[in-house]
Amino acid sequence: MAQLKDWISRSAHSGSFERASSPLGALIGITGVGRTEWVLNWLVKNPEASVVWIEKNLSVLPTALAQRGGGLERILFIELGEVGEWEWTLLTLLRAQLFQAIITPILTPDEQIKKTKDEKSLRRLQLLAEKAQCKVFLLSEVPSQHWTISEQVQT
Amino acid sequence: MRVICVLPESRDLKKIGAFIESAYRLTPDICLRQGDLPAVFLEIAKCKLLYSEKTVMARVRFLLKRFNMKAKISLANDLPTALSFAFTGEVSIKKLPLSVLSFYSDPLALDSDTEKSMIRIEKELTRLDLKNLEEFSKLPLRAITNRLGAIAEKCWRRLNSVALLQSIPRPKWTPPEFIEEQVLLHENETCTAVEPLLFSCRTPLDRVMARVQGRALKVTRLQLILRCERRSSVLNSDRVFDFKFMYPQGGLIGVLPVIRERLSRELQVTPIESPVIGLSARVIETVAGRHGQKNFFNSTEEAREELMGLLERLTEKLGPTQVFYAQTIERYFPEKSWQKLQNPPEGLAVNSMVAFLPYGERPLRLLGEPLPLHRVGRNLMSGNRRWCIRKVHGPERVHGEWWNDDHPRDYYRIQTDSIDLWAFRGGPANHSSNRELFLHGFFGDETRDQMNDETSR
Repeated sequence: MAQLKDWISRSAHSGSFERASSPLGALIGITGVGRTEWVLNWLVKNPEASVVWIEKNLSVLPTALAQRGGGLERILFIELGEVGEWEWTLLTLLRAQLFQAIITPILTPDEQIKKTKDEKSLRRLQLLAEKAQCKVFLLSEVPSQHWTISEQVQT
Repeated sequence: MRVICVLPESRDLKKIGAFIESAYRLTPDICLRQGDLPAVFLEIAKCKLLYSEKTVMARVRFLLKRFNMKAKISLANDLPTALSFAFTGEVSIKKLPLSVLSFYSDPLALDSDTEKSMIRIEKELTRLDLKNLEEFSKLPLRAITNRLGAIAEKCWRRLNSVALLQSIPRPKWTPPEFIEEQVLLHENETCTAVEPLLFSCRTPLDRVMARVQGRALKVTRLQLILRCERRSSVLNSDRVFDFKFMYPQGGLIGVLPVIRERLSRELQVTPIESPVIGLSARVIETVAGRHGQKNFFNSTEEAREELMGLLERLTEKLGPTQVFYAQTIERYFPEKSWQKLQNPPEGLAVNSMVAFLPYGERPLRLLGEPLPLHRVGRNLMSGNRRWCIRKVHGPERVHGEWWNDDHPRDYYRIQTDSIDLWAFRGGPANHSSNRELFLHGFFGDETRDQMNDETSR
């Protein structure tokens, strides 16, 4: 079973930007060295999508996003800082149903998933994302094996 | 001239004043009759392009309901007739009884002496067997002047001239300086938890918001005061919650979730020690805010309002500087090349365009603080991380701001076997040979695996 889970999580396509579309209203895991670049390309290809970019301490450079056509005027940045509240922020944003995508890096996936009380919380996120028709891009270093993440992109 | 007269059952002028304030959004031409029979007059002829009479009447009824007021409403061409219709329930001026004649003399009850004279005139007219205003208006003027005096003559002239009726001077009502609404809780309404408190808060907050809307304002600072029962063990019986809104709020929908957040957080830390017996909401600061009618064909305004509410909630929870939009500015140092915007730009989704900035490509990831880089042969090291250099591009000289004593930096894009680094040599330009190397960003995302691999090599 573990092997099967691993196979499913790793069987995703190798992060090609040319892929026609990613699923709507789902949790999408993006891993690898080019994960920010991949998300940026998605932003460039979807210029009308309003997006939230969540980070603990903002390391993405807005100037670089603007240089590459990311369109800063439609990106809401949230810096969680020491307050944390990652899960609360995500749930609040999804409930508002105002955004087409949420980009949030999971710096240490295991820790975050543990923080979200694993299955129940991620399932709640998945259901809300589905209801809000919102893509939740979970940026992480290594692919997560959790079944609620419907697509894994290895960049 | 078209006048709506609202004749409330309550004689509480404070409550009536709050209602008038909320009705400001319908018409600014409002006057108040004080005294034993308070009444509100709304002149609506000038806003007929905005609202139909039917709509205004419906809105007035809705506002009355919002302020929990019972009142009779009437519509007529002038103040005395509107008041008479509301008072008697009649809809024809011909059938109005003689008891309303005083309204034609002094509809706003400004002169207290008139009332005594009117009682005498009414008695006299009853003795003459007159029953309604129509009969009174048909009397010869000479007889009225001789037998009943100047006040009765004034009433007769007004009844026989529409122009005179419509030119009765009316002092405009001026709103009070503070917007404050209070509510007292009954003994059986035990309020010590968040949800019952929020339920009780709704009424004063809703009224405060209606008054603010009436003045075409939005709230930026609001105070909520919980008045707790005085007990010897309770040090502070008044709990004051000060809400400073980052985004001006114009409705209850945006305000209530913020209050819920704050109350839940603060009451967890410091619970209420005795039952709440009263609540008051007071507006401290406002800004001008336009309240348009709902656009039937476009929901952009609605979405923007929802967005503002959401931003307020996030700001309340995460902090005032943690939620923002970004904008590039004309400064060359990468960390200073953008600024935070508290308010979203107009229009949610704008076509993204490549911003042509007067410098080279910037990395996607920038470190909060530059880290010292040490070069050992073909390797670069920072802390426990190590990269093997493949190619170096640059330098790109970036000048700082001389007025801030910034030294110029020479930036290099360093290709390594795993990731492209962005590093600079800093320090005074005239000592270029001794300037230190700092890592400032990455053209990609670092992974732990790579880091470990590099370290293990």
